[in-house]
Amino acid sequence: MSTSFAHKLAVGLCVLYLVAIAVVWHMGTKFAHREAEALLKSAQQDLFVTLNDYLDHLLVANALKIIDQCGTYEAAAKADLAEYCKTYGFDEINVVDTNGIEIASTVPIIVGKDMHRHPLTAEFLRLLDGVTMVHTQKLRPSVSEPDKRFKYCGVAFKQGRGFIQVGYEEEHFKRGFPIIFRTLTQSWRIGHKGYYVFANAETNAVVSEPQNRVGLTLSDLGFDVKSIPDDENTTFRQVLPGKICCVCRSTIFAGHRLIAIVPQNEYQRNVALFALLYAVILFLFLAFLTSMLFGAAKSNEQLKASIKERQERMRKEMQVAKTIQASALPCVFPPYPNILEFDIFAQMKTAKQVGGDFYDFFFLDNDHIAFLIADVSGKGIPAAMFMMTAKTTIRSIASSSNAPADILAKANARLAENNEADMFVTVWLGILDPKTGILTYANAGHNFPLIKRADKSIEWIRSKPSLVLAAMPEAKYKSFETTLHPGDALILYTDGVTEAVNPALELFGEKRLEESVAKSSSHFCSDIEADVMKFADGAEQADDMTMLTLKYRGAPVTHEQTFSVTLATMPDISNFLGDTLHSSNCPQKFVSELQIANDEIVSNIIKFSGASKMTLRIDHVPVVNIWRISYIDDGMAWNPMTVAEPDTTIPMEDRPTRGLGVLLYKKLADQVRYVRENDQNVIQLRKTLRS
Amino acid sequence: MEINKTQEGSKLNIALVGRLDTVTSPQLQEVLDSSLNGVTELVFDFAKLDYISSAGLRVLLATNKKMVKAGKMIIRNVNDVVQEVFDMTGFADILNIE
Repeated sequence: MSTSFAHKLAVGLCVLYLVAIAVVWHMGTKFAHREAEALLKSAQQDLFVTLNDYLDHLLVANALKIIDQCGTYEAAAKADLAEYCKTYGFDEINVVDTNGIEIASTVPIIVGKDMHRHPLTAEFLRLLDGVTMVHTQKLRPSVSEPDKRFKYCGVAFKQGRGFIQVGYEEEHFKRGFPIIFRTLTQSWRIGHKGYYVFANAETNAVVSEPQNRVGLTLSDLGFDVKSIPDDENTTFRQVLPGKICCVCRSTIFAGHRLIAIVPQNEYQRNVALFALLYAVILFLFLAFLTSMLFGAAKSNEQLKASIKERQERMRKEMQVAKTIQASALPCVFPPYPNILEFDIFAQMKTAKQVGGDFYDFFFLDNDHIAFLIADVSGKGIPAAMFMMTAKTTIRSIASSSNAPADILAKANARLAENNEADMFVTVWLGILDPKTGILTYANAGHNFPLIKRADKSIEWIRSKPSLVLAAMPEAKYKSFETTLHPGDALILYTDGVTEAVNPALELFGEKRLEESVAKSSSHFCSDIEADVMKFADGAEQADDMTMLTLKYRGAPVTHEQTFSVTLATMPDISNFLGDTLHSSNCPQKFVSELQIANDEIVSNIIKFSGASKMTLRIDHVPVVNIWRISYIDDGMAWNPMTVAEPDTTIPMEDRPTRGLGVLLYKKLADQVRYVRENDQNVIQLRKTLRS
Repeated sequence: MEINKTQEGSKLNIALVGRLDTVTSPQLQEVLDSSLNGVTELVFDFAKLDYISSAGLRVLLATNKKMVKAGKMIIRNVNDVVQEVFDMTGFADILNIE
């Protein structure tokens, strides 16, 4: 996985993390809210139960006192019930006999009524069973006075022989409740921070509250009274002073509003704690996960980087090997500009992989030039290394012999010796005597070269090839001989040329090579290469393409004469030159140009060199119409080329005329060369007569 | 080298036959030195001049300087070698060649 993907993943995980926290917070809050609600509900219930119990207790306790005092229902019936009411705070007392008849009551119309008459009153009849001693009821409308609400309680006489029923009227309660609330619930708490507030249902005046702010209204405490629902089963919110958000439930009880309150932070704190814990755990998990992902991404990146690095290194090594290979070959052309008898040109076009082709040429002595082309088996760096070895081996051995077969045999012995990699090399070696044109050669398994003769005919040199070099130390080699005539061109090549393929997998072949050579007039190597590329038509080059061309021009015709260095001999020198040129039918313009150059050179020799004698030598290579004119004088060392040329853009009046002559003959000749040789100045002009 | 002079009043015609080089330039210089008095127009005819070398150019240069002050100098009928030399040395821009 890439680093950028890992980054995106990390970002995604962070977002997910935050979302998860938010969800957990929200759900936790909701959950806690419900918890608070449940807490409130149970708190409410607790309150009810407590209040009811208290009231019951109160009623029962007082009623028992009456039971004790009277002893029987008959006595109770005769007692002053009104008095008892006053004493014990009851609003109603009824005495019931064993038949369930109310025989006495503070309410006259009740007397004589049967408790069986109404389900609510009939409940109390159980007190006659002798077992049930006490029975209480919730606040309810009175049967006889339905618009008033009463709470009744019944206590039985011994053995169930009648009972008394006492009742409190709600109004009575109402008045008494504030004190009850305060006493009972002052210190009550809901949870940690929750509490109760009691207020008068009509006036909303507070009757009990933890901070004892009695007398204030609910609004004063900060309640939004209008938003308090009447339904006792609804949870609602209030924002109290101090921005305390609370969850509340409200009930009406005995004319009073009971509000149970839980501040939000009561449960929020738990949510916060939980969310924090969750956040920490999740964070640790995600941190672990991302570090693993990054680790994977990083190691993936590292792997990719190291693969790339290795590829790059290999490519660079290949590049270096190619450069070494290429730089080992002579690549300056023409290699012997001062040699007129022949010209050599060679090129190598490498395939993608480093190959093992090479060529070489060198003078064995003044009279012999050796040249060769070779192809090492295999590709890559081992082939390149073997190529270097083969090249230097052949060169060093050639310095001790003139015969190609001999050179190859010795080279083969040496190369085969330490050939552990079982490499071999094909070689075609030729040795030419430029004066005569005689060429001796030997072939170690290499492609046959061809000669394009001066008359444009093509001749293949198909000698029986000997074994490739470095295969077997005892292999034998044979020399052959042929003659080159002025105007002949010998073309050597490697199989990268003849075995070049096109998309249809056809080979370039010898026939096409011959056609190429026949078409080409002068630039054989580049013309053949162009033809091969055209033939290949985009197919990839599989092998190095190497070619070497030797154009034989023949020994030049030389005319030479020595003159004494005086003004008087100048006409003779000029005439000698003119006659020689005319004898070869040079056009007058060509002759005049050379005669002007001659005039400049000779006059400078006379003026400046202090020479006494001067030889004028004229070399002519008819095949290519090259004329080389050499002036050799015995004067002091002086290089005319170092004279600065006049600036022909300066106005005439200001221009020095000193270097005018040098300027002139430099321009009139194709090439000018100066060398100090054998204590003599040699100035050479070269000029080709072009048709 | 042959030097053929013809004079018409203050106009002097000089035709050269052969080559104007190191050997022959002094010869021309001599002739000019003695012939240019009172000449306001000098005309060279190079129809039979084979070629000219830098020695000849120097003579022409010096003569041109003189004649430009005295009148004018014209060169006629140069062959292609002579023109080539004039072009190569920049003399083509200086001399009055017709």
